[in-house]
Amino acid sequence: MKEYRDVAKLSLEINGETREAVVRPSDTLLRVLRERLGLVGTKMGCENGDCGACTVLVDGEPVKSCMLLAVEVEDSSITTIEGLRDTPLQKAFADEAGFQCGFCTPGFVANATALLEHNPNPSNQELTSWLASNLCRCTGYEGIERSVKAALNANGKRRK
Amino acid sequence: MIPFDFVYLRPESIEEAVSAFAETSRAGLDPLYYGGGTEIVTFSRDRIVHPGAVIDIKRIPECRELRVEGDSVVLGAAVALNRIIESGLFPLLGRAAAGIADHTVRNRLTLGGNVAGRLPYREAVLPLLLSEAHLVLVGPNGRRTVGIREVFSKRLKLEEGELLVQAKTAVSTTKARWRHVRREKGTRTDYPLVSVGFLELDGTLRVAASGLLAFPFRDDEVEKALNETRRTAEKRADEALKRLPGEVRDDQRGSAEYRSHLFRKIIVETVEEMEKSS
Repeated sequence: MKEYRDVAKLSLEINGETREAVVRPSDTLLRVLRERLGLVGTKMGCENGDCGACTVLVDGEPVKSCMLLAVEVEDSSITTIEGLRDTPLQKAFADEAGFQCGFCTPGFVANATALLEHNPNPSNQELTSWLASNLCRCTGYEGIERSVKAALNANGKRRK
Repeated sequence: MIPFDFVYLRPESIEEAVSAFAETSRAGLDPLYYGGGTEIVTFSRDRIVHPGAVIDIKRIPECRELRVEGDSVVLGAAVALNRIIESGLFPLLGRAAAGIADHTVRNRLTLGGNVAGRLPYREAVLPLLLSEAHLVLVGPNGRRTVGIREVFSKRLKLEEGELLVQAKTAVSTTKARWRHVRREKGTRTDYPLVSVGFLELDGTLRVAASGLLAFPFRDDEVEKALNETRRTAEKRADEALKRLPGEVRDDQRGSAEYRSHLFRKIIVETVEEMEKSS
């Protein structure tokens, strides 16, 4: 049985690198990413699982990093926005003005990256269901949806 | 940030989990079994719960099962709701679960966590009540398999240290006719004003609801009203409302009057639809 008591050194695989951090068992992954490892691209919004600004990928699945403990994911592969560079989806966000203030963008990009990986040809219903996990307080939802659809079309795989 | 410390334990077997609970309990740590963590982490942040130890059950093989075994669909307590939805093994449960939280959260939120949780909604319990699922529970006094209606009344009533391992539902009930209707005030990811599930078995319509009262419920008297086939759908719905086993919720999301109206409307539509097509 694995046990963590008090503070402990934790080894995490993040963006293809092994990173070590001293954590408390009750530290959320979000806090460890930002405050111990300096990966501040992952944003802290509501810290209550509502806004999705803290979305990262754990073994390719989008999760809200404010809602899980860092010690839970020690054997997983974690991808943050820092690990996503110049992807077609990010280019589509830039081309289609998929952001306004940009605070929610890392979460949306992480989530939509997983969607494109999970299903390169999602129905509108599936796309809407996935994107509903993230909030944009600038209300730039149309631009965000347009960006994701542009990335899908760029893949040439989207159903007409 | 969670403003206090706790011990994190990750057992590999049920036995380890149950003894870890007993030991941490004896040490005064007030432990909680921990599934996806979505509720415990957010409630801890708000100091609604303050466990001194959490026991993560996600590595326990029996808690991760999701499969058909003989005549039963086996649903492990630590299976994330999205996996249940995607499996298609229990369509009514898939539909009810798809209304809970949002897609990203459902990658972590587990069946056991929802059923045993503290929020008033717990919509995943509705299909289990309707299908009369059996729950596999293991605690300091051993293992028992019980019908969910024996241990679920407003909330899941477990013995001290008891772990919900699995829910098992007969394959035949997962194939019966069903309907699930969820209504929210605003966005679909909001808590429900009402979330109502129906299952038709042996010519009888079963109903279970969440959001309407302070707890999810299935009630025999309400179902009797629903099945008085000599009366009109409207009269049956009115009678069902009179027999509710509690006060209708009245809060900023929706008044009691509005929630009652929605529940009544959903019953009328369902009764008419089910009877038209049968």
